[in-house]
Amino acid sequence: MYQYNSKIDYYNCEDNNYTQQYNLMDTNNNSLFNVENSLMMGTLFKGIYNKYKNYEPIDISISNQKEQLQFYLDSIGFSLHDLNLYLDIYSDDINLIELFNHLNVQYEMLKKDYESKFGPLLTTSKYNMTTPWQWNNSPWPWEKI
Amino acid sequence: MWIYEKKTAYPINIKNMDLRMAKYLSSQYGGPNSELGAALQYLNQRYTMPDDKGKALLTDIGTEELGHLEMIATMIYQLSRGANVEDYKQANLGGSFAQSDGALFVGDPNGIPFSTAYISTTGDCIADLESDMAAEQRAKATYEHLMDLTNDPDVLGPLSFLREREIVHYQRFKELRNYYMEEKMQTKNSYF
Repeated sequence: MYQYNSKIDYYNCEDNNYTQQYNLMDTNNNSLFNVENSLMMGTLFKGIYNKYKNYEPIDISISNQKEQLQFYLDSIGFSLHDLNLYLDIYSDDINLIELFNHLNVQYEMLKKDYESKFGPLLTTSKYNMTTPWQWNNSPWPWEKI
Repeated sequence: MWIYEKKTAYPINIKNMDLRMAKYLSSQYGGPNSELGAALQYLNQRYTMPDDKGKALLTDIGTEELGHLEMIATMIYQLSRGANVEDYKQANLGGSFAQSDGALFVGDPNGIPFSTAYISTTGDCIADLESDMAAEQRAKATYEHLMDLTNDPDVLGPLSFLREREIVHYQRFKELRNYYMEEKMQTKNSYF
């Protein structure tokens, strides 16, 4: 059973080399950022990162428990999505499929934790099975602060 | 189908009002290289992709672009939050206020409404993917211009995230385009 504490062990996928199934990849993107840094870098794939002029990556500010949990949820959800796009093309890459499955389990756990504290993310969430109806509670995603 | 998840793809928390920047950002909301145009173009092209790789990639990137459209809308909303009529006048945006107060406008910063003429589809997978690659490069250039127009780290963070996404999408589209080209080359040795 996976567990998550304050610092998340499963973020440790840095430099996890994965196979190249096709020679069609023309970048050297065979290593990954930490999942924790993926959102800040805009990708999980080191080889595709390209910074603009001298702009340094900007840390995502976290000032309370909600933002902390949301940051983990966003980071894992985003890494899953970036892997998803890769796997659409390289569907036989067993290492990255394993990483996807691993992160997916973590994502489900984090989502439950987040929803139990801060309300449902989907109308069909079991944390929406309450009276009164919770789905229409503020804040909406665009209203933060 | 699509299901709404009650969160943004990347956390957006802009503290300072900046009506001019809000206006500039509408280039990515309803302009020719906007997230809206990209989402509609990819989701429209997916029906004529030749195999599972193409159908999946265009569905998944098209869906991601819808999330980016929400990010841009969120940034425009937060940058204009709390502005009054004097703020609009001072920012030289009285026309915008007269027409729609603080409501979002699906058009470019010069007031031109969004047009489906921005969307390109031919039914040919190579032509379509190359137009998608070009769309990603144009959007990347637009994000760079937007980054040049602000110093606010609350705005630069999401902008540099979105810029990097264009680079990743360009890469994936290119890989798929190359894959289809290789396949075609095997059947007939020709140039495209």
